[in-house]
Amino acid sequence: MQTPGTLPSTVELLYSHHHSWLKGWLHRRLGSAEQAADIAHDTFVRLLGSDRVPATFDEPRAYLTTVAQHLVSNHWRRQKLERAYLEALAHVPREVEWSPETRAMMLETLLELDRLLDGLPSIVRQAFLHSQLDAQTHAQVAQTLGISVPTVKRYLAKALQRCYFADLSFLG
Amino acid sequence: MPAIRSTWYDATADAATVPAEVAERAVEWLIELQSDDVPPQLIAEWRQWREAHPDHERAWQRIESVKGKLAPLASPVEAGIAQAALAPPASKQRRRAVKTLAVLLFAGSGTWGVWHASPWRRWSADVRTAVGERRTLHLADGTQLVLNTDSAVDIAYREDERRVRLMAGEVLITTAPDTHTPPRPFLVETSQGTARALGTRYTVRQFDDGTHVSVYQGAVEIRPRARPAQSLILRTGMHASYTAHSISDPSDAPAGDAAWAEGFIVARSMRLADFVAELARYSNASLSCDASVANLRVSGTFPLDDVGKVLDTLGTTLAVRTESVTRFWGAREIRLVPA
Repeated sequence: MQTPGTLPSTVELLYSHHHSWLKGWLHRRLGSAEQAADIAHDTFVRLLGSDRVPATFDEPRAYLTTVAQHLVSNHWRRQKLERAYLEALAHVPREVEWSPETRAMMLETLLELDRLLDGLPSIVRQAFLHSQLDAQTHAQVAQTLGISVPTVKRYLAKALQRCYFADLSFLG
Repeated sequence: MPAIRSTWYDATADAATVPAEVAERAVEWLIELQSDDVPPQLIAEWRQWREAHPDHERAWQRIESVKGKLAPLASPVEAGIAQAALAPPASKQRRRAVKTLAVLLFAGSGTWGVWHASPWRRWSADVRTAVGERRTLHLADGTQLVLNTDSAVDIAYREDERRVRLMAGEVLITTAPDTHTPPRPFLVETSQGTARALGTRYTVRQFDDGTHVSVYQGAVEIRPRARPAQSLILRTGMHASYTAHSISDPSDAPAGDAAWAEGFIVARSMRLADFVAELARYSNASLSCDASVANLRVSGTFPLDDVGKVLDTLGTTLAVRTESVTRFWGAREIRLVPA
């Protein structure tokens, strides 16, 4: 990044030339001016925090929309999960009381887990949930999902790798 | 697969430098240690592996640390919520998970009593209920036992197994994922044999001439004492009885058999002041706590129908005691003060 007082940085240039345009683009996509402004803001915050922004662009708007699109899909994903979570909570009888902090903590844990397990086939995620959260044995998971125990173990290896070591790059 | 960052890894950032094959091996170990029967030999080998290289230990520390991050979701109720929320929308799994949740949270009334021990503690205790009394026990690993009237259990948790001996009466068990590594099997022993939980909720009742088991969720493996090889796995909704020598044919579990479950409050490292404020919603007496103990942390699951007893019980795990004052106009105040 450039020091203040010298030439404006790439991100500053991107901001001054394309911020309004990006907001408009997001507005058409999200249907809400407020959310569009939020995500446009987040897009530039993300660029400021990144050390991988190229110095020059042939297609600055294509670059911006790629980053913004990623944030938009995170946004939808989060909304979807929050809705599912609230729906699940609505089925909890009133006798069970979680403090707002506990609820928030559970939701944050869910969101992070969902993010880490993203892209895995649904059955692999289910094997993970049954085994790691519900403490089902391998045999039980196999029975629940209608697959063999060796397959359960293979699925678990995949999901556990993602849950525990997503910061490592694997070739496989 | 590209590398993904997560705040869950912050505490064990150094694990990101281990070779991929070490991480893969660590995961394999975890899966093996979570298997049904873990021979002592395997545990010894796993310990040796951890000690063999600092990378191995780093990888294992990562697993332990992230496992802790999953804790808010890893008990029967919370796991149900996670299942329901993470399953594809409008799917069969989601509907089933939500249904399971309702079953898990089935609430009755008339229970009292809490036993809550600190995690990792090795302990053994005899607990008995009087005629007409019911009692809920919360064991250190999160397993819940509800003792029905006129019952007695001896709880014997060891390094390699979680065993509950049912001496008399009836008990409802809801097992929790074992926090111990490797997870230990959970067994209920009666004079006729054992009923081993395979991740589950079930009742065991001791009669003079036999033991009756009903399974509400998961599965239970029954082994008659004199014929341990003749085991039977009972699945959700099934009931069977057994003597030391034989097992009856399974039948449907009688409906409403576990209707003596309870209503409770769940605290997870909650500030005492917040916990007391939550409890106060269920109490006619006014509740408060001294500022000097307000920041103590409460963990456990507590029944709501006798708030005074819950407060008294806090004294067994925290350095607090209750002070009860009745005002001249009749209002009762209970205050938690340093013990």
